[in-house]
Amino acid sequence: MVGFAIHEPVDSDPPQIEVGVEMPYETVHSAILDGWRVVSFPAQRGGEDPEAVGVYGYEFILEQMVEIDA
Amino acid sequence: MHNNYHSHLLNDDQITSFIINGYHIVHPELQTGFNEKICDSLRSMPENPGEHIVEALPAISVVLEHPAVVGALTSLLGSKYVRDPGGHIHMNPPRTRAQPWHQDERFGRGHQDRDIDHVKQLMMMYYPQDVTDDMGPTVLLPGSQRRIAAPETMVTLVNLRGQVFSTLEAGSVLLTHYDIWHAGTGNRSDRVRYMIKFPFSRTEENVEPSWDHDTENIPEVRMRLDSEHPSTLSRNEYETDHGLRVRTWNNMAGSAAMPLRSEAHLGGPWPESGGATTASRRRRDNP
Repeated sequence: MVGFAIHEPVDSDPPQIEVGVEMPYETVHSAILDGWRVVSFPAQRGGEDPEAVGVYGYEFILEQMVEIDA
Repeated sequence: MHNNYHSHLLNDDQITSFIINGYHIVHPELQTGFNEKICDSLRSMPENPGEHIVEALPAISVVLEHPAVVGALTSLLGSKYVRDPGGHIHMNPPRTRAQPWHQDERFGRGHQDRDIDHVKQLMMMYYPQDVTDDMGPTVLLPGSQRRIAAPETMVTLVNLRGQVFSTLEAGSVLLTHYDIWHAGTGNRSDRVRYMIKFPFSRTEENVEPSWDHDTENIPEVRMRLDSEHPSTLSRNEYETDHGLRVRTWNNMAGSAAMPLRSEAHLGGPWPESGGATTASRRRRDNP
């Protein structure tokens, strides 16, 4: 896992870069094993320029439903 | 320019670190009370002077001309470097939100026209007060100066593996490759965080290293350029990024250039059962 952002379905500010955060999982697979499900697979594509390092690809969108006290 | 900057030139190891990571921190020895005076002056400014920083804040010349700063800039941009027009005083007041990841724009140049294998332009950031975790430190992504990305591809990126924060003592000067990914983070403290930013450019190519170079260090430099990759790279990016690191050294080093390819990193122990299949793969996955 290269990066992550958690968007919670509540009235709140969008996630932002913060000091001291740790990756919640090492891989997408480990997140799936913990109950997350894939709702969007990344578009697979090759590098646009073989002489350059480009954008971060392979962006998965995962979802997890949890019960909360209303 | 001071005549005594020679003793402040960077060494091979520091240049190698800059090539790999894209930043270097200078701690110039400033007179007691200097940083406080700069902060007082900033607080008394009725508005942001825009790029007219030196006119509005003449004392900042002490930082710009400090031998430690001149020595680092000379090492990274050559002895004929210049300060570019522009610059900005960043004021990060309490209770702000983080900026998104970005590379600074350059007038007349698209996002694809980046210096991915050279150091032609730098950004200098001077922090006149201590910057703690909660004061909105600048965040950098080491090695990202080689990663070309359109701004719209960064908008969904938030916390990234390897990101580092400029929590620094007052008076610190952060020099970054112009194209490094960075952002100001949210200030959660009750204090204002100031940062003064200036761009600098190389004006001529080096015919020999402009830093404190010793040819005996080349093997160690080579080993680091071959094996250190601070950003997380996909398998097909690994060799490209490695090539860009070596090409950057060559473009800076003039007569001290080295062969582009080296197979030295392919040697090493045989793979272990249950691990990566080759030694090079293990180094790739576990820098």
